[in-house]
Amino acid sequence: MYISILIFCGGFWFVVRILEENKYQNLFSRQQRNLFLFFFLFLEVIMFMKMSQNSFLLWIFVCLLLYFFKKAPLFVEKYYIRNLHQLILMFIDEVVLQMQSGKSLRSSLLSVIKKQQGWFRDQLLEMHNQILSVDRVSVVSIAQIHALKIELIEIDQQNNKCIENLKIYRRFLKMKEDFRRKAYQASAQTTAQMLITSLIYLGLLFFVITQFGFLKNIKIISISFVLMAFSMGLTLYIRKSFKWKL
Amino acid sequence: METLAPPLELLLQVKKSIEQGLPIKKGIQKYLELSKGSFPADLMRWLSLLQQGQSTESLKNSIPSLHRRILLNVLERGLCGEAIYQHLCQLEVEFLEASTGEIDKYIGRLPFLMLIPMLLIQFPALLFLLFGPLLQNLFHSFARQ
Repeated sequence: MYISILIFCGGFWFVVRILEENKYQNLFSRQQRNLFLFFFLFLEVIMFMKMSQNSFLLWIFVCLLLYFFKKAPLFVEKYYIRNLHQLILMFIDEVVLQMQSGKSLRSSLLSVIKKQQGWFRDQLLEMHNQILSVDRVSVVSIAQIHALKIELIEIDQQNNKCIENLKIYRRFLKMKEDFRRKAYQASAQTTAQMLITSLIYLGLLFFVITQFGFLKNIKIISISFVLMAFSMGLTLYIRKSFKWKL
Repeated sequence: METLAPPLELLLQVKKSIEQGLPIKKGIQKYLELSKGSFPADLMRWLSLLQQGQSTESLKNSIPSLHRRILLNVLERGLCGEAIYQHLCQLEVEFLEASTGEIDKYIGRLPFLMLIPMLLIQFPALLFLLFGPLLQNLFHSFARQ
């Protein structure tokens, strides 16, 4: 019982530390982080009530939760990057509008960046600082933002036809985005299939564990888990195996 | 698959440079700066051969894609001073159609490719998980008898 209490308190302390890391502060607001903390606490209390007699299972559960919280920012950042093209297009639209109202490129950029929020705003601010210092050498961590930075530096240096050049770049990005959306719709069916089969498998696994026990059927569960993991890997490989012949 | 086809991306980059009043070489260099893969590597070799005044025929013949070879021919003429903007606009239409056709072909094959892991691995895994404990209990009860 004392060990379970120790695991409970230790898990909570680790999650508080993880949520204070830079990755979380860049991606989520204070309210969102508090919500995660509350969610973790809620889950931990339920599992403590169910598993307080079995410290080992409670420890495994807390470790899995901590691992999930540690890796979650990676997936969230990937999701943000996937939608970055649309955000960049909207950003350029606003900059063009500001410039058409009579502002210069730099002041338009700054006023539009100030209106953005969260993760995207931080990325744009980093980019803006490098544009002001005409820094072509430093690489912004995200490829799309880096490409935008290079383009904006060149347009800024040209000093004339800024709006036309920005519109040409916007047309170029729009074509890329249209194509990307079409290709994404094609791969969406494989994603949907993977999600549905994973959910069915997890449901079945939960049923088998609750009805027949986990340790009694550990061989069967391990073999089916390995087969399922292999099939997911193969599905991902098939999805990413497309190579342009053009 | 979620990026443009490499020759199409190069064509659009060069076309954008011409529209912005920049030289063709600038567009090619920007494409090389932002892209990775086998085509940018071939393009880099092609550009360095051109700058050295050497023949690029053998390199172009080693590229299997007809679209890429045609684009390199047009860019070569552009780098020699010829006006290629109209040619690029016409090629853009061709390349877009070819890219769309390639993606449509892949989308047509995808359901059959996805059947392989589903039928051969996922389905047996689910059946194994579902019936494994039942069969195990059955065999144990036979063994006790």
